[in-house]
Amino acid sequence: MPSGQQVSTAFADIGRFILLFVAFIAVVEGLLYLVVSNGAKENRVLRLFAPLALAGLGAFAVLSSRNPKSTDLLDSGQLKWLIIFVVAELLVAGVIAGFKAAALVGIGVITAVAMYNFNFNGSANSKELLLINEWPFALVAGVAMFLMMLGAVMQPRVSMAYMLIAPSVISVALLVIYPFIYTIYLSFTNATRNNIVFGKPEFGLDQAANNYGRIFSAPLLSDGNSGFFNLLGITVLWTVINVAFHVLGGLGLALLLNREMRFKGIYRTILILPWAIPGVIAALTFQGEFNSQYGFINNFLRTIGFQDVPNWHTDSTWAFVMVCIVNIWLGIPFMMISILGGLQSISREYYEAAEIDGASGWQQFRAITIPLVQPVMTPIIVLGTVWTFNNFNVIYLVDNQGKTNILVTGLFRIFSELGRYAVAAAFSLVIFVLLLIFAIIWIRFNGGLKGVYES
Amino acid sequence: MAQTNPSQMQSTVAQPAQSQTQLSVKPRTGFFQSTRGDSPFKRLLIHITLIIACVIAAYPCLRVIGVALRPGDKLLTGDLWFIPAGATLQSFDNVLTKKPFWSWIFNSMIITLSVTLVGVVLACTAAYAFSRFKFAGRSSGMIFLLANQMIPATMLIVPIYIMLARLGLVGSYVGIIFAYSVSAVPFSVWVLKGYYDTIPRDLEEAAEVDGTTKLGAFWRVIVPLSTPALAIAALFNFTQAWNEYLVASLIFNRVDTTTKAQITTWPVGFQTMIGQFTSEWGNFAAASVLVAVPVMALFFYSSRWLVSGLTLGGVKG
Repeated sequence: MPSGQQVSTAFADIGRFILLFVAFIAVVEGLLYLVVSNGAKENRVLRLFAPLALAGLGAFAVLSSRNPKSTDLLDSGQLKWLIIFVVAELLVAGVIAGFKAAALVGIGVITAVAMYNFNFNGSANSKELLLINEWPFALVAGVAMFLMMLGAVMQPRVSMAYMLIAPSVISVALLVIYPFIYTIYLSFTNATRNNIVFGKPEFGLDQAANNYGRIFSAPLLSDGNSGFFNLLGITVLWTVINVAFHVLGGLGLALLLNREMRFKGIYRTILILPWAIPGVIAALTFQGEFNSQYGFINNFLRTIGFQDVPNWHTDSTWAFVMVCIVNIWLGIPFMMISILGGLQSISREYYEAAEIDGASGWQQFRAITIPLVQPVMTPIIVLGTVWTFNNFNVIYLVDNQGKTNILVTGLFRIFSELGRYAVAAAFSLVIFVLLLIFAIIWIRFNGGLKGVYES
Repeated sequence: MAQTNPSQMQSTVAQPAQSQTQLSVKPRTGFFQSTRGDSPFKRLLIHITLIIACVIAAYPCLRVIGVALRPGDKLLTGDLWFIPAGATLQSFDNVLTKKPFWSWIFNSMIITLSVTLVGVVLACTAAYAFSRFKFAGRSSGMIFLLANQMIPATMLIVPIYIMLARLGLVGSYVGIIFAYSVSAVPFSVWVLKGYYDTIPRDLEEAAEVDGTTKLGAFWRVIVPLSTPALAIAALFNFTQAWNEYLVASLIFNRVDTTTKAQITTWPVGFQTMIGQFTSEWGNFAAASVLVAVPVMALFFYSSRWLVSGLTLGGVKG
C-alpha cells in the first residue's frame, strides 16, 4: 500500500498542477477574450474569463516564484509577490470596467512582471541557477501578442476559434517547441552533468564545433567502438528488418484470416495478444526468457536438438537477433489488423470479374489485392518505420547488457550514463534532421499533407 | 466484405430459411482470392499455419502466468510446460505484501488520470475549432500540431530533464505530469477532428436557433454526440502515459529518504525487479499478470472501437 505521506504528497502535487493548469487556461483565454471580442457580448461564460485571467496570472506568477530549494508551498518571497498581485489585480479590475486600452496596458504590465518573476525566480542567486534565458519567454509572449493583434482585426466569431485552439497550441509550444529550441541552445554549450545546475556552461561556436565534431569522429558510447555511423548503420538495418517482417507477417496472416472459416474469431483474438500485452511487460519478460540457461527459448532449442545454444545477452550479434525477434513478435498484430481492415473493404466483384476472365490466383493478388490494399498499407508502413526507428523500449529493456544500440538508445546512454548533455543535445538534433529528411521525402512522394487538414 | 449483408440476401434468396445454406456456397475471398473451392488439404494447411502462429503469439503470454505460479524452489527450471508442478500463489502474495506494488500502481494511476484529463480537455476544444471554424492559420496550426509527433520523446528528454531539474520538479508528480501532458494531444486532435467532421452542422445550428450560444452548442450537442471519439482519445492518452518507461525512469524515480522505498511508476519498478533475475523472477511474473490482465481486458473490450476510431480519423482526414 502507498504510505500516507506519499498519498498526501501526491494530492498536494496534483492540486498544484490543477491550479497551474486552470491558471494557464484562464490567462490564455482571458487575454485573448479581452483583446479580440470587442466587449462582453458573446457569452456569459466567456465574460467570466476576464477576472479569471487576472487571478490566474497572479497564481501562476506566485507559484512559479517558488524557490527550487525550498520545500514550503508558499515561502516569504512568494508572499511578497502574492500581495503585489492582489493589489495590481484590484487596480486592473477597476480599469477593465472603464477602457479596454487601459486594461490592455495593465495586463501587459502584469504579464511582463510575471515573466520577469518567472525568469529570475525571486531570489538573488537564482540568476545562475535558472539558466533558462529570458528570450524564449519573450518569444512566447511575442507570439501571444501577435495572435492577439491578429484576433483584434478578425470577427468575433473567429476569435472563438482562437480561444479554442490557444490552450493546446500554446501548451504544445511550451512543452515541445521551447524544449526543442533549448536543445539547440544546449548544443552550442559545453554542458555536462557536472556544470548544468550549479555552474554555467560556456556558450559559443567553438563549443558547437566541438560537440558536432565529436559526434562524427569519436566513439560515442562507453563500449568505445560505437561511433555515429556505426549506430546509424545498425538503426537502418534494425528498421528495415523489422518493418519488412512486420509487413510480410501481417500481410500473410491477414490473407489467411480473410476468408470464411471455422474459429476465425478465436484465431484473430489470439493473434493480437502480442499487441494487447503492455509493451514494457513483454520486453521485460523476453529479457528473462532469453536467459541462456533458464529461459524457454534456449530450453526449446535444446529440446529439439540444438545443444550449442547461443548466449543471447553477451554476444552482440545474437543480441541484435534477439531484439529483432522480440520486436517482430510485438509488431505483427498491428499490421495484421490494419491490413485485414483494408482487405475486407475490397469488393468481391473484382475477383469474380477476374475469375471470369481467367486470371490465376497470383494474378488476382498482384492486380487487385495489392493495389487496393496499398492506400491502407502506405501510411502504416511509414508510421511503422518511424516507430521502429525511434523504438527505445524494446532495445533498452530486452538487451539489458547494452550490446545492441540504435540511435535513440545511444542518445539516451550519452545523456544518462555518460552525462554529456551538450553532446546529447547535438546528437538529438542530428537524429531530428534524419527524421526530417525522411518526412520530406515521404511528403514529396505523396503530394503533401493535404489529406491531413482538409475536410 | 467477408460477411454477407442480410438485406441483400433477402432479395436474392426466396425464403429466409434458406439463407444459411446460401451463405455457405457463396464464393469466398481467400489466399490468392480464387478459393471457390479450397481443397481440404489446403484448408488443413491454412489451419495448421494459423495454429502455429497462434502458439507463437500466445506461448510467451501463457508462460508469464506459468512462471508466476512456480513455487520458490522451482523458480529456475528448464521446464517448457507452462503450468508448473506444485503450482502456488506464493509469488502473488509476495508481490502484494512485500513489494511496493500498490505504491507503484497508485503513482501510475494518479499520473495517468491527470494526464488523460488534461489531454482530452485540450484536444477536444482545439479539434472543434479545427473542424468548425475557418480562420487564418487553420491549416498551418494543424500541421504545427502534427509536426510535433515527429519529434521523438528520446530527443525531448534532454531539455525537459534539465528544465525540470532547474525548477526542482524532478521526482515530483507535477514534473512528470508536465512532461507527459501534451504527448498525446496532437493525435487526439486528429482523431477528434475527424469525428466532428462527420457530425452534421445542422445540429448545432438547430441548437443555436433554440437559443443557446456557440459554446453551449458545443457543450450540449457536440460533446455528448462524440462520446465514442472522446473515449478513444482518453484511451490513447491513458495507455500512452500508463505504459511509459523512458521519461519516468529519469524524472520520476527516487528513493524515499525515510522509508527507503522506491517511489516510481510500475514500468520502472518492474524493471528494477527483473534486474535481480534469479531471486525476483517469479515476483516479476506475478506482478506482470496483475497489471496485464486488466489492461488486456480493457484492450480487447475497446479494440473494435480503437481500430474503427483510427480509420475514422484517417479516412475523413
